[in-house]
This record gives sequence, C-alpha cells and structure tokens, in this order.
Amino acid sequence: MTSSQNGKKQAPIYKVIMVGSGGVGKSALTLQYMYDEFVEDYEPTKADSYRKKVLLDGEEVQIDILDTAGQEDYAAIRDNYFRSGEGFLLVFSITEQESFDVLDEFREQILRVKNAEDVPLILIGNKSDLQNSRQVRQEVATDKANKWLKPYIETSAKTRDNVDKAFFDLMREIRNRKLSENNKPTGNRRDKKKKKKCTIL
Amino acid sequence: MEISSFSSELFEQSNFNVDDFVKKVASREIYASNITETKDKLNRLSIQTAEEIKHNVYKNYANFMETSKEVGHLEGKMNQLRQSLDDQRKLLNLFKNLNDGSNSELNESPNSKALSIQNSSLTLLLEQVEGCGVIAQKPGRTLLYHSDLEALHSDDYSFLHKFHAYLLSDALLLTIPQRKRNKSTFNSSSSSVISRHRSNSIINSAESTNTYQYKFHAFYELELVNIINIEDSKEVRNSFQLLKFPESLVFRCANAHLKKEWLECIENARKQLLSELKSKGLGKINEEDEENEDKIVASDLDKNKNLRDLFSEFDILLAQRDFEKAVDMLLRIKSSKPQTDSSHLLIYKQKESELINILRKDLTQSKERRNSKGVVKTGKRVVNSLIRLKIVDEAIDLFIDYHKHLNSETLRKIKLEESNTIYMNNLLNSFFENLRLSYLSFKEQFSNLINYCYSTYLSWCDTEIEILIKKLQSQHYLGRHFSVTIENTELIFLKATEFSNSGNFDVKFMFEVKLTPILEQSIKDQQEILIEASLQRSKLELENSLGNNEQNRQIQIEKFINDIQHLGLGDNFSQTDIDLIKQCTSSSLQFNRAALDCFTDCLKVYYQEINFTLVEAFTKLFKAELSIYNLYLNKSSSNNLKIKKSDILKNINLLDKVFRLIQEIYSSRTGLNSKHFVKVQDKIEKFKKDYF
Ligand SMILES: Nc1nc2c(ncn2[C@@H]2O[C@H](COP(=O)(O)OP(=O)(O)OP(=O)(O)O)[C@@H](O)[C@H]2O)c(=O)[nH]1
Ligand SMILES: [Mg+2]
Repeated sequence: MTSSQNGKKQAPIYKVIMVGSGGVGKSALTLQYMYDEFVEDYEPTKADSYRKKVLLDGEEVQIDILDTAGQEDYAAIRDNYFRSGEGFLLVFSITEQESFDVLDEFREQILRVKNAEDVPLILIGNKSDLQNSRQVRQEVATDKANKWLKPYIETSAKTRDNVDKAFFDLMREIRNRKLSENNKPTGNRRDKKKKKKCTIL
Repeated sequence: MEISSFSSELFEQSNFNVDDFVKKVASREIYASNITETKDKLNRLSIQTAEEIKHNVYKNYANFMETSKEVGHLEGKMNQLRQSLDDQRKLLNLFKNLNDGSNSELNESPNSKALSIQNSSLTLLLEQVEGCGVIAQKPGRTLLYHSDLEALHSDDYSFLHKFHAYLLSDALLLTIPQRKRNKSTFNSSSSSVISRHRSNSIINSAESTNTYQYKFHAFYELELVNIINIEDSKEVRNSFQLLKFPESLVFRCANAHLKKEWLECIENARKQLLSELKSKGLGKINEEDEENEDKIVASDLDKNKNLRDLFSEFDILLAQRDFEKAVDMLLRIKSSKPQTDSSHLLIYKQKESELINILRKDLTQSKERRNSKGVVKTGKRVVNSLIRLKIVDEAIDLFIDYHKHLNSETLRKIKLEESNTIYMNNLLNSFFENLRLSYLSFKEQFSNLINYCYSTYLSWCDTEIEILIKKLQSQHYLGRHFSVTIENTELIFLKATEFSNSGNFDVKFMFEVKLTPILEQSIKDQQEILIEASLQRSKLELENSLGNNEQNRQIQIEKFINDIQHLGLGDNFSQTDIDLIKQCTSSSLQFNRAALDCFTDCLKVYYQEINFTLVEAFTKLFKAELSIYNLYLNKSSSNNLKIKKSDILKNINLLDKVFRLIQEIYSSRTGLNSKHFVKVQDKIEKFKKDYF
C-alpha cells in the first residue's frame, strides 16, 4: 500500500482527523498548520481533506488531514470517517464549556468504531489567545486528558501557538502505534506476507 | 315393489336408523328379485353420492382456479397502477425541480440547471448503461447529475481509469465506458480537459454497434458514504473523495467548475435524503445496529473482496454460457452475502436478472425457431435455474409458458382428416400425451414445491382444455351436429378417464364443465328438430299425402325393431309390444325411434351438469308429441279422417311404452327419478282415460 504504481517509494501517509463541535477552530487549526494563515470569518465545514509532505523527526511523511463538520447532523456518517482515521485531534474551545463536555461522546464513538481500547488521540483546547473569555479551566482539561491517558495541549489558531506541536505530537503517536503493531506477532496478515517473501527468497 | 320404491330422501332423514330399515324390509314377504332390486338401488344411490361428492370437489377446484386467475389479474393491474403512479411522481418531481430551479437558481450557471432538468428522468440511464435496469426501477429515484470523472489512486493521486458517474437522488452510480476502442482518447484526457458532452459523442461514434455506452461498475448509497472535498495542492486539483470504509475513491473532475457542481449536487441530494428520512422518522441506523455492525467490520473487509471476485467469476461463466455453474455461483454469493448491504444486494439482483434474461431470450429464440426439442431443453433449464434461485412464481409462469407453446405447436401440426374419428383420435392422443409429459416434468421440476404451484398448474390445464374445446367447436367437431357431438364427447370422456386412471390427476371434470354449455345447446337443438319433424310428418299423415303409405310403414316397423335390438333394448319389448309396434302409424314409429335414439345417445355422455337440460328436453318432446295426438282426435271428430281413433290409441300406447322405457333406462343409468317425467306420464294416462 505504501508504494505507488510506478514503483517509486511513497512517503508513508498519516491520517489525521479533526473532531469537535462547530466553531471550535478545527478548520482554523488546519489552515494555520497547512498554509500558515488564519481566517477570521467563520464558514462551517462539510468535509475537507488536506495533504502535505512534512519531515517528521528527519523522515519524510505525508500528513492527510480530514477536517470534518462540527455540525454534522447525521451521526452515522461520522462512523465512516472515524474508521478511516489513524489519529484524532479532539478539539474544543476553551471559551465554550459545552464544546468541552461533548468530547467524551466523540471519544467513545471513536473507540467503538475503531473497535480498540486505545487510539492515537490528543485533547486540544483551542483559542488560548482568548484567555478573558475562558470557560474551561486548564486543570479541568488536564484531568480529562489524564483520565483518558492522553496528552492535553492548548493551542491558538490565531497566534499559531502550539499548532505545529499538536499535529507533530499526534503524528508521533501514530508512528509509535504503527511500529508497535508491526512488531506484534499477532498481526496475521503481515505474518502471511513475510512467509511468502521467505519462500520467494 | 314397495321395498325398492324408497328414495334417497329416506336416508337423508336425521332419524334414519339402519337396523330399523333392514327390519322393515325383512318383515315383508321377500323374494330374491326384490332383494337384488333393493341392492341395485342402493348401489346406484351410492354411486350417485360418490359422483356428487366428486362433483362438489371439482366445483371447489373450479372456484379456486377462477379466484387465483382473478388474483393474478389483479396483481397485474396493481403493478400497472404502481408504475403509472411512479411515472406521475417522477413528473411531479420534475415540475417541482423546474420550479425550484427557476426560483432560486436564476443567477446560477445555466449549465448545471439545464442538465438537471434535461436528465432527471432515468431513461437516460437505461439508454446509456448496460445492466442498470434494477437501479432504474426504484420508485422515486431520479437522475440529478452525470459526467465523466477520473479515478485517481488514493495514495499518490496517480491516474487509474475513467468513469462516467451518475448522481441519483439517493446514490452514486459508477460506470465504465464500454470497450476502449481508442485508448489514446482516454489517456490523453487525464491531462487535457474534455467537456463531458464531447467525450460522450466520441464514445457514441466509436460504439455505434453497441447500444450501450457504459457498463455498470459500482453503486454507492449516499447515506452510507462520505463525500470529502480535497483541497487543491501541488499533487492534485479539482478532486473529491468518496469514502466508504475501507474503500476510498478519489475522483478528479475536468475543471473547478465541474467539481463545484458535483459537490453542490451531492450536498443537496444528501440534504434532501436526510430531510426525507427525518420526516419518515427513521434514522436509518440506530445505535444498537451500529454495535453489531462493528463486530463484522473486519470480516466485511475480506468479504467485499471475495464478493467482487465471485461476481466477476459469475460474469465469466455467463459469457461461457455455463448456466448451471453460474447459478451455483449466484447461490454461493447469496449465502455468503450479508443481506444488510444494499449495494451488494443490488448488484446481486442485477446479476440474477442478467442470467434470467439470457435464459429467457434463449427460450424465446427456440420458440421462434419452432424447435420443440430445443424448447423443452431451454425451458427446463430456465425453470430449473429459477427454482434453484427460489424465484418460484416466475418459474411456474415460464413452465406454463413453454408448455403452452408446446401444446399449441402439436395441435397445429395435426392434419385435418376426412374421418371424424381418426382426426379426433389423433388430436386427443396428442393432447393427452402432452398433458401427461407436462405433468411428469411438473412433478419432477417442482418436486417439493408442488403444493405451492399446483393450483397454478391446474388452472393452466383448465385453460388448455378450454382452448382445445374451442378449437373443436370452431371446426364443428362439437356443437354442430348432434350425433357427432355425442360421439366426440364420448371419446373425450373416454380419453380423459384413461388419462386419470393412469396415475395422473383428474381432468374429466374440467372437460365436463367446458362441455356443458355445448351439450346443453346440442340437446335442446335436437329436441326442437325432433318436434318439428314429427309435426311435419303428422300433418302429411293426416292429409294422407304420403304415397304408398303401407310400404313406408313396413320399412319403419323393420327399422324400429332393428334399432331396439341394436340399442340392446330387445328384452324390454314383449311379444305384445312387438304386435303393438306393428299396428302403429309410420309417423309414430319414426318419432319413437328417434326419441329413443336420442335419449340413449344422451345417456352415453351423461353427467350431473346436463341432467336438468336432458329431463327438460324430453319432457317437452313427449308433451309436444301428445299434443299432436290431441290434434288428431279433435280433427277426427269433425272430419272423417283416414286414421281411425283406434289407430291413435295404438300410437299412444306405443308412446306410453317408449316413455316408460325411457324413464326406466334413465333411472337405471342415473339412479334418479324425475318428477317431471312422472308428470308427463300422468298426462299420458289422463289422455288415455279422457278419450278412450
Ligand atoms: N480568536 C480565535 N479565534 C479562533 C481561533 N480558532 C478559530 N477561531 C475562530 O472561530 C470561528 C470558527 O472557526 P472554524 O475553524 O471555522 O471552526 P470549525 O471548528 O472548523 O467549525 P465547523 O467547521 O463548523 O465544525 C472562526 O471565526 C475563527 O476565526 C482561535 O484560536 N482564536
Ligand atoms: Mg470547519
């Protein structure tokens, strides 16, 4: 899957999904990360996908960001997204308590759909530049992250504060996960492939 | 005499007691003859009851058949209605779209609007895409948009191949161009922009021999997929992604405008779908279902791949015309397929109908070639395939269809013969042989579905019998000439009984029902002919205008006595009766002979249905004859006639004798006594008393 048709080795793809309610800044974070720009106007997203090559600890990889709609009125449709994702940024706005509260549900849906106890995931408190309107205290967010055994990062899409860190940390999580999966002897399909190679040699 | 004069009514009394009855019978003087008579009578009664039961059973059958025919008819009507409702709905939708379009899209690009109006009917789909009949059948489904799209590799966005995609109101249909005649057209199109209209016309001219431009490739329900906009980048432009985990397809549009239209149309379609779903109150997937679904996700992955392989194997088998294996393959797919996945179900249905259509076409072709063996072979094949696929209703329909064809072919081939008997024998033998064969293969092919299909089969037999009888009637083998009608009816009944007795089902009843009106009419006609003839002869006799009267009379006497012997009624005439015959006038002799003849003929084909007509006809006949004698006597008192009163008395005595004989053979054949006959008998007695 990682090599293209013309045989040239393709940089591995890391599939990241932006999750969170509407208006928390998922698109703003994505655009800031992708193009170093900040958009003031709010335009609800449907589903956008971005991809770019980056250097992750010296290795060239591709990040594939799926920016989803916070206002998706069709919960079932999200299952499909979540299945295809490898890592998740669960974004809330520190200025909106409710956006923080709903994240538990999102996380549960992800775990259920991925049929796993643990997936690469980071809790993101966005709009950290708006300290005056803060509704979610940092300790409360850290608590939740600890409970999930996941990191918590506060970002600002406006000032670009921690934006790169959020994406890179997540990519590292994904990479670690991929490595540990490859080393697991239980991966049936990979075992088969290896065996095949041996017989060819 | 008293003992045997009981009637069936006696047994019907609720307090009838066998022992009492036997005691009563035994308490009287008993002669051997009385006992045999009673026994005969009882036998006759039991035969009669058995006949009645049989008859009622058939009546039920007949009713049932009528009803099932009616139901089939109604079903057809319903389908028609449904279809026309659909058409109407489509039209209404179209108008609605037109309205919406003109209200809100005034400033939109004229391109997309024109397209949505022009093509919202699915006929375009049927015209352009091979094997999408099933897709186009869904009521309420409309075509919203379509264009060429390029499929790209989702990892590195390299070009894969070309699709023509149709956006339906609830689904996305992907098709691939039929046979790439000009490869370079498609390859170059990946880098150069080709308007969809132009590309259509290229395919059109290249594929002038093939009616379809595209072949079905895949079908995605909008509800179950995500459509994701792919932001333009160095690697890829004007693209969007279809996600149906684990499948992920990347489509590249010819230009930015086209992509915008696609995304808008999809978005609108999904909104529409969503609001429809909401208004129906059924969020399609509820939480519990989701959980179950998740558990099978992993195996689904393999299954999807597997299914695709199976489907393409099926295509190959179909191309090789290995229908047996193709059916096997379909069954395999059916058993492995999770029924919940409606897109697979659709493909399955489509493959199934592809197979059936080919089989049907084969059958039609061999029917057209008038090749009976071919028809049997292909017919059996398609019926068996349908049965194996559990499409039973259609199986029995087709079974009937080809047997119907076989029947009409055989009947058509039978040459008209000069001899009635030879022709009738040939015809009936072939008819029953066909029926036998059809029943045999019916039992064989529908072995464990016989109960389900039996009524349909019988109802078909019923129509075939009707066709046969109509044919005979139109060629005057039935209904025209009385004695020919009787002779042929007798033969039909004989063959029908033979058929039933050799382990087949009972068809005689079916024939009886169809023949009743013909026989009834025939008997009535014959009765009128006899009355008319007797009237004419009596007139002549009265006027004494018949030349050499006595010579003619002697001939008639001879004929009468011959006939009696011939009909096996010799024992019923004593010497005095013979002496009486010898003294009767020739018109009387002719009438009585004809009446006896006619009556014994009728009894040859007697069954309950014609009983009433038979009794009525002979009541009328003898009443009419009696009134002729009335006329004689009235005239003999005024004029001095050639015929003496004593001659008339002899004539009446013969009439009396023959009518009694008729009643006797009637009740010995049918086990019945007719009140109407008794009344006529009383009239004859009274007539004798009044005048003599
Ligand atoms: N001050 C400030 N504003 C932000 C920040 N991030 C996003 N916004 C603003 O919040 C609004 C919503 O941002 P989006 O990125 O469009 O929100 P979203 O999560 O993508 O929303 P949906 O697409 O509807 O799910 C926009 O007006 C942004 O300018 C931030 O870090 N600081
Ligand atoms: Mg957004």
